[in-house]
Amino acid sequence: MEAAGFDHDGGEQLIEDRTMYKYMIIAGGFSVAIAGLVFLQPGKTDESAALPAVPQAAPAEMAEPITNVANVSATVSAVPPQTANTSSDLLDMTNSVLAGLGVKKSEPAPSANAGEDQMRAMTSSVLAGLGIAPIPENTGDVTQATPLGNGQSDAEIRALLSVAIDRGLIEVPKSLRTAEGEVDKATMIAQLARAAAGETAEAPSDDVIAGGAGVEVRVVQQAGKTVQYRFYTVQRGDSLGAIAHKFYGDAAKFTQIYEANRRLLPGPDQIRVGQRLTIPAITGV
Amino acid sequence: MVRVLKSAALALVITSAPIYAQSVKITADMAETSFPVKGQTVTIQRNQDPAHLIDPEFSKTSRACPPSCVTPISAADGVATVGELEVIDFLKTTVSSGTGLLLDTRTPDWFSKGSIPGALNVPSETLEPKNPYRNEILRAFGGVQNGDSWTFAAATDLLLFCNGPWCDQSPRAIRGLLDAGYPADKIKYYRGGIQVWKLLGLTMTGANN
Repeated sequence: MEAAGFDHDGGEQLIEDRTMYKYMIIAGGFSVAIAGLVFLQPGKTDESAALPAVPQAAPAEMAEPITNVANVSATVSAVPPQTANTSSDLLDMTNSVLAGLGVKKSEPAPSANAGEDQMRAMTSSVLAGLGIAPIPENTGDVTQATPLGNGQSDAEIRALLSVAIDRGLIEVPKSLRTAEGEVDKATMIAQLARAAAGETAEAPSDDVIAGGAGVEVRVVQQAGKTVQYRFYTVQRGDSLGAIAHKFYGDAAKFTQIYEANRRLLPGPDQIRVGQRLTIPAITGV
Repeated sequence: MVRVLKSAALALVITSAPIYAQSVKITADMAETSFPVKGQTVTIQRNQDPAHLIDPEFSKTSRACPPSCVTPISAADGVATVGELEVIDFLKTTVSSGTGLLLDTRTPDWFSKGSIPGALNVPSETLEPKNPYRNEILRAFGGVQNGDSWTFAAATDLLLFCNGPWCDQSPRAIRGLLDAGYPADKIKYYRGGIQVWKLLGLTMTGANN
């Protein structure tokens, strides 16, 4: 009892006051320290790098990837040899960037020119950052194994397409997503074949169009002239590209329909079964 | 005992007060700024430690020239040169809305060590004519190819940077873009680059700010 060293004659009240005062200071000190730590956040690291937004591709470009499959492989093989200023380090580092972006590593092809290979890897990395499929390698790719329209059955071509899509070798344009969210392979193949054969698009006759399911044609007299309005109700399995093919004979012209229905469609892949779309008369080429 | 505690509490209050008030602002009116980029919130502020120094990699004064030569203020005719506040504004408005891209033109190893938040790594080599795959990138930027010529009417706005006034990667990339026909008024050049961005203690990606 003596150890505390307090003056017993000083009175209990004073001791109690002092103790309370002490506790208040301690409590105050702690809360200030905690507040300081909260604002300092010593362990806080920076915001992780946010992926930059992908630019809105020009509407006409959205249909590009499919028509370009043959062109890309042709370009790859036609590239003149590069002056090799490469290091395998750079390729490794590029691959780690690719990995960070969640993209499959592109292994260097043993026979390929090193400089060219490095450029392909770097370009693919850039494209991955923009959300676009990488450039396929030059060796033994399923897309290059057999050109389209070489006497293959539709089923074989579909199977090839499926593999290429699964492996990310082909970017599926949004216009070829069906109302169910699947890939509209039929329209894709038709479009590819048309591009490969160099055919020009021809719109089907009005009679053929008018006879189709979901098609609605209204003729209105306006200020002395006759205006024709066409509407289409989205059917099961339709993609915007398929609808464009139905009306214009060319899936790439989906932009006309997309632009005319922007109020209904947040994106070219956002069509829904039962939606009633305005089909504009074709303007320009 | 009471006196010690009292002064300790007072010291804590004094030291934590300026931190609470964020004394190192970007401008007098802007302590920090946050905006969404591709679904993620990016916050840019300045380092709040008054004793913080730039890291050794960026304190070098005498890199060999070539290649590390002093660059002109303008990268090319018609290409605007901008500073940090314009970069932040570009991120906040153009990149955030998906109508533009901030391009880090350095090599992937530099990019992976830290960059401006929201930037996309497009090494300068990939934009130069020697890249056989350059068209893929131009197309991704919104360019439309008609035979041998390109239309960039719908192409995205670009703001390019590299390591700073001693780095020619972004000027080279800009010349590459112009060579391909990319319109000069869709290109901007941040000459200060990572050197000046870091010097001002502005937020970087990666841990080593």
